[in-house]
Formats: sequence, C-alpha cells, structure tokens
Amino acid sequence: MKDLIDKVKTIFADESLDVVIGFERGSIPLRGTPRFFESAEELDGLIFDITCHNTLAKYLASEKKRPGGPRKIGIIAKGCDARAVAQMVVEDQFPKENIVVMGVPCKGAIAPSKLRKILDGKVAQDFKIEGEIIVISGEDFSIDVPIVEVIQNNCLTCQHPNAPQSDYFIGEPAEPIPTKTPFADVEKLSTKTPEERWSYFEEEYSACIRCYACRNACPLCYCEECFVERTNPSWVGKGTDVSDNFIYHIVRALHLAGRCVDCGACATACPLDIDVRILGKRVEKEVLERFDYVAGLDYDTPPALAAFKEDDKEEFIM
Amino acid sequence: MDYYKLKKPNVDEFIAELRKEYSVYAPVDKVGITSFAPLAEGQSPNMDFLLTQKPAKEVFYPQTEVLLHFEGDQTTPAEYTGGPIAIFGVRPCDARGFKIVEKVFVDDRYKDFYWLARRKDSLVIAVGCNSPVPECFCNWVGGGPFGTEGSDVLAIDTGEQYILEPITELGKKALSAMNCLEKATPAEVKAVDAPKATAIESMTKPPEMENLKASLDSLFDDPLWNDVTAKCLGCAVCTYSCPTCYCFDIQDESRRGKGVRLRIWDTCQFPIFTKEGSGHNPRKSQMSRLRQRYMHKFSYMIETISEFGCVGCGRCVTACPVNIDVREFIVKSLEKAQQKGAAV
Repeated sequence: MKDLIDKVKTIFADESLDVVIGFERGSIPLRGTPRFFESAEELDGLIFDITCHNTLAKYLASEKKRPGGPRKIGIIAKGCDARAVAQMVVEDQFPKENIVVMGVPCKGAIAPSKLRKILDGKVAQDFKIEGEIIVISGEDFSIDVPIVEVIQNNCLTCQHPNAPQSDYFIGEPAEPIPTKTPFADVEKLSTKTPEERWSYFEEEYSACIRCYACRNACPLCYCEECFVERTNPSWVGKGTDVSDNFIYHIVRALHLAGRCVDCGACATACPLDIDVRILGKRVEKEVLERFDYVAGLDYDTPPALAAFKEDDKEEFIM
Repeated sequence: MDYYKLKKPNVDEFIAELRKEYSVYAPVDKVGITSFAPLAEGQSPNMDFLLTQKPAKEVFYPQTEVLLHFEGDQTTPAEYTGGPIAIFGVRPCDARGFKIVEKVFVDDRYKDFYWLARRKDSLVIAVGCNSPVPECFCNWVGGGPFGTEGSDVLAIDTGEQYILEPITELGKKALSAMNCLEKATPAEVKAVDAPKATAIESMTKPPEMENLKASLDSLFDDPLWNDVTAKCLGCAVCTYSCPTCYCFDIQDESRRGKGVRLRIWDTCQFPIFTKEGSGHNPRKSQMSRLRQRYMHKFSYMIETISEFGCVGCGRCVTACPVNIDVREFIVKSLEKAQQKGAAV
C-alpha cells in the first residue's frame, strides 16, 4: 500500500489536484469505503485491494454540480471505473481536463453479500491473498476461499480489469479472471422457455423494494430527475407491485443501452440480492452484436445510440 | 413468573398450536432472502438466521398497503381480514421497533386505523441474540441482545431448546395454554444467565449517548455534516431497512375512474420527499437530507416521543452500499460537540 500512497501523493502534487477519490478502510470487516482525500496527509489512509468494490466514477456527477464548478480530481480507477469516466466524457457529462485517471490493477472485488453467506455469522478480522485463494481469519478460525467464490458476478466475466485509458497506471496490469465467457449468464437464461424466464424474473423482481440503490450506485445513471420520480404524468406506480418493479428495471436497462460498463455496482448495492445486472447485460450483448460497440473504451468514439454508420445492421427495421 | 421450555423438534407443533388462534409470521426463505411471512400449514420457519434483510415492521406496516377502493365518487375503506397476528422469531431490536413506531402511529390525538388493525391483538415472540455481529449496536440506544421491550415472550436459545420467558400478561396466557411446552426447571432458567452475559459483553461499549441530542443540536450548521455525508448515494436502503422509519406517501392509482388509494413507505433520502409544487425544494442537497434523517432519529424524536428513532439493529450499517456507518457519525458528532464546547 505504501507504494500506491507514495505514487498517488506524487501525482497529487505534480497535477495540482484538489481531491483524490479513492478508498479507505471501512467500518466493518473486509470492507473498503469511498473517501475524498483533500490533502497529501489524508492520503496516508488510502487503500486499494479486493475489498474496494464501489464504482467511484459515480461521484463525478455530483462533483460536476458543485457550486463554482468541478474541482481538479484524481480518481483511483479499476477497469470499470476508468470505463465509466470515459463514457461520461464521451457523453459530455464531465470535462476530461478536470480529471486525472490513476489506473490500478483489479483482481476482482468482494461482493459483501457473498462474503456474508460464506462467513455465516463468523466475525472476520483479517484476510490475505494467496494466489487464487483468499484466506479469511477471525479470532478462532481461518478459512480458505477461492477468490472466484467471493467476488462480484461481473468480475467473473470482466475483460477489462485494467483501465483501457488512464493518465497514470500504478502497479502491474492484472490478468482477466477467465471463469466465464462475457455473456454466459445471459446465454444461459436465453436457453429457457419464455414461461421459465417470466417466472424467474417475476420471482426475482417481486423482492424489489424500490430503494433505487441500483440506480444511485450506477455511474451512468446521472439524470437530474429520474422518470420514476415524475408525478405529472406518473410513468410508473410508486408501490412495489411487481409490474411497476418491472417497468422501473426494464426502462433503466434500456436507458443504459450502449452506456453500461458492467461495473456491477447495481447488483452489489441491492440490499435484497436481486439479479438487477442481467437485464443490462442482455442489452449490452444486443449493442455489441448490432453496433459493434463496447462502452467506455476511449474518449472519442461516439455512443452507439448517438451515432449512425452505414453498415449498422437494420434487419429489424420493417 | 413461570418459564417454559420448547424443545427444538417441537417448534413445528408449537407453531401449529399458535395457528389455532393466530396468523403466524416467521422468518421464511424465498429466492435467497429471509423475510417475515405468514406460514402456510405445515411450513417450518428458518430459525437459523440473525436478521431478515427487511425489517419486521412490514408485518404490521406493509410497504405497499391499500387504504381504500374508489369508483366514481364512491369510496370503500380497505379492511384487514387476516385475523390476529403472532410473530415468532423476531429479534429484540425489531420487537422494540414495534413499540417505537406505535408511539408515532397511536397516541392521545391520533390512532392509526391500519396499523392497529394488524397490531392490536398481536402476540410477539422474540428470540434473544446469543451471537451479536459487529454491525449490531442495540446496546447503544437503550436495547440489548435479550431486551424485552415490544415482546410478549422472549425465547432464549440454549442449543437443544428454547427457554421461554413470558414478558406480558398476554404472553403468559398464551404460553400457559400450550400443550407442547413444559415448565422449565429453576436450574434451566439459571443456565441462560451465562450465555446472556457473554453476548452482552461481546458488544462494543456505547459512547456517551445521553449527550447526543444536545451535541447534534449544537452542530446543525457544522461542516461535519459535509464530511459524513459526502459519499452518500442518496438511495433508500437505510430508511427502508430501518425498523423505526415510519414515513409514508399516499398515492392514488386509477384507470377509468376506478382505483385504489395506497399508502407506500416513503423516504427522506429522495429529493421528491420535500419537493414543493412550485418546484422549490427546501432540502436540496444530499447533505441536508441525511442530516434530516440523523437529526430526526437522534434529536427530534427525543422531543416528540422521548426515544431515539433507532433500535441499533445495524441493518443500515450492513446494507449501505458505501458503508456509511451511523455509529461513526455518532462518535464523531460527540467528539466535535465536545471540542466546540471546549473552545467556547
């Protein structure tokens, strides 16, 4: 961690940054938490490891609205963070000159809900990584868990563990974690009958409490006013009827077409462990197949749905 | 008072006996989550859990509830027809939450018809917590892992059986009528003291909570709020998972002149909570919204009902996507107020 801190401190000074958005140790075991570091001294508390799951690019939207304009920001960027930053720049939502992307190699991020299930009430105090195993220990126990069993589902299909674009890269680039093909989950669901899919979605989404943690954790959900909050007209019922839950999640997935960077923040934020990511993944597949577009890889390519190419597939147009 | 014992293999029989008089709600697993739901005949609860993801308040105060039906200008109030409710397996923090919400919904001036419909003849059987987790802090806010407020019966898990302690007259009556229970011996009752003490001892000691209200009142305009709220995403996880948050919205849903009036949990964390018809919003920033939540729970509710609006269940700590920990906030505020006081 010392090496990371020293490098970030140097960049902080060289780039005359006002703030670094990064992680510090959280209040509960094996949990990193977002922190805005506003001085070199504060940076002594900086960490980055497998416990740092949040998508920090989320905070650019509120930074943009800051009275007096956005500050000069440094961001500690996993692959998905860097892609979210790039996507925001492409969508003209944040000025590139105000942000310095500090890429860090990501080896997957712990999903707190998976960790809780593995610990089953045991109180973890520490962990260490030994190859592909995470050793989690507490006062009177120590368990070896394969890393792939405790990290977010999106990490299992991630092809961009390192920032595709960065101003600095700190550390050795990480290898992708090759456990599944990118759309394995979507393809698996596609083999089911419509009835089976319907009952799967009905069961999953009936648990939704409409806390909008998925939306609020999403770096690309930056609308000033979300359609669910409109009252005149009211586009969707405010209660938890499953049909209203569907409308919310489907519209959100479509609004993110060609924009979602599959950071998994939505699924990890969900307090009820709903598979909120799968709809977005399905749309991502569609965008890739039709428009050969992957969100957030560079600062120039216009978004899939904002660009026209003569060879765009159009067999679906009547 | 007589204590009883319930052998674990007899839990199903115990529930069957309760079912004669009550709709029995207990923790049930469905699609990977555990929540309080009415048990079907012969259905066993999952007693091997600490806290349900959603607070048990939803049994008496559902997230979405029909208040009335309307057609044209005719209205028909919705009536609860589910019969008296028994909750089995609720934790002492959730049970205490019932009491706190009730202080808001039922007082000398107002009696919430819909809350009372489910709540008034209910029987609450709580299970004490032998192994609190690091997120638990009931002992900071006046409760405890074996607290009895809000419960009619407290069950203590001894491994092979539960020792049942009647707390209220209702609890006493219910237990004495049960065929599947035996009276616990004085030695068995005494034997629960040690695990109880161990559980209480294992929890983090509270700071000076009696100073909290005055501290917060002195900090309303302090920059501290910006620090503690900077990373807040503004979602409703903390409020919807809270056993004592009670705010609701009322919405009409209709088609062609026919429809329902709904009461739906609301949250002070969404901008629309305070957005006025003119477009003006007195709580424009997320800082002001989270400040409202904390001030309400730890200052204003002391004024209105003489209780914190918090039972220390720790759900907000566990579920917050960015790990905002109310305990860190409490400690920081107490320190800051003390420094400020010292500076004056």
